[in-house]
Amino acid sequence: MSCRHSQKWLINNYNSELIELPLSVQNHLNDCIHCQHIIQQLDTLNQKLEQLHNVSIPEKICQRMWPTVALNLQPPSFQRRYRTSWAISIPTLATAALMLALFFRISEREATPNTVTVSNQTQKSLYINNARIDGQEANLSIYEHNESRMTLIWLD
Amino acid sequence: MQLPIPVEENFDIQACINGDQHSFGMLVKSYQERLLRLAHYLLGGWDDAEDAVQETFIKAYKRLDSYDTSRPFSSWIFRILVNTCKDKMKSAYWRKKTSLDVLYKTSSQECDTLQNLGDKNILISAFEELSSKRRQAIVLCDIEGYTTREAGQIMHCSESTVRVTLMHARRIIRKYYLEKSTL
Repeated sequence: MSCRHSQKWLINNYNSELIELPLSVQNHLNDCIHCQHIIQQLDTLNQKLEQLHNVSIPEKICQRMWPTVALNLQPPSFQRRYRTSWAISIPTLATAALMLALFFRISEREATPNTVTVSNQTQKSLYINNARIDGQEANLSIYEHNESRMTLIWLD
Repeated sequence: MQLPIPVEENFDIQACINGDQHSFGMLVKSYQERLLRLAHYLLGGWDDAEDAVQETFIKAYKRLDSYDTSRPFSSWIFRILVNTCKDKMKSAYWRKKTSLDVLYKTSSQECDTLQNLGDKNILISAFEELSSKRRQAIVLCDIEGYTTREAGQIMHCSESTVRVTLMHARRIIRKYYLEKSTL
């Protein structure tokens, strides 16, 4: 194993606990002073990171923290939020229900049959019981005006 | 790895929820140092850290009703802090900061436990190489000593995500440290 491979392995895996050190790395480390030095550096790095925990916090910041926070405190928002949520949600729900009702009403009106089959009868002012429109039974009144070629179908 | 310093929970969370400011004051005093330290490493300076922590306490007090008392309070408040820091880092003010060096130099002088200032600066510069998420992971796990599970609760992601993020973060820092320390 070369120093480059050993160094790459150490960077990726070394964490001060070389329990499962691969044999190839171990063999290389036994002979290579350079890589042994890298391990020492990585140990130093871990120690330095731990020492960052002991950074001293400026005393004045700790002293003024609570007085500053206390000045800006607002009461917990539980009750206000509870009222606000209902105040907002009731009109919202009502509007949503109204919109849904309108939507279904419009949809119902627009749902005109695409095809009308009235058993080949084309009589004027004819009233037909139990005609089938789109597979559903209905009572129809058919009015035909020859001059304008207009047919009016009335569903009961 | 040293364990996080236990917080003396000598405050009554239910009293805080009911709006008792005295109890909340005790809470602030119990948590301020840990929160300041985390914010300091996430944001890179004490001034920004102080702002973020103040904002965190104010938000926390306002939203105490949404805190689930069956879960650890520390995870909840740390998550608020992490989100506040993230918001700060997204702000226009933050983007104007091209380098954290100046801010960190101030803090490094205050860190009297580190004997070698050069090594400290290398570490701080290495932090700059990390994305926000990776920085959170390394600060929470390697500096503050949280477990990956606890860090996951704070970062709002799974334990395995923290492990992977931490692995990448450590890799970057090790590589950076080795490159710079051998120069």
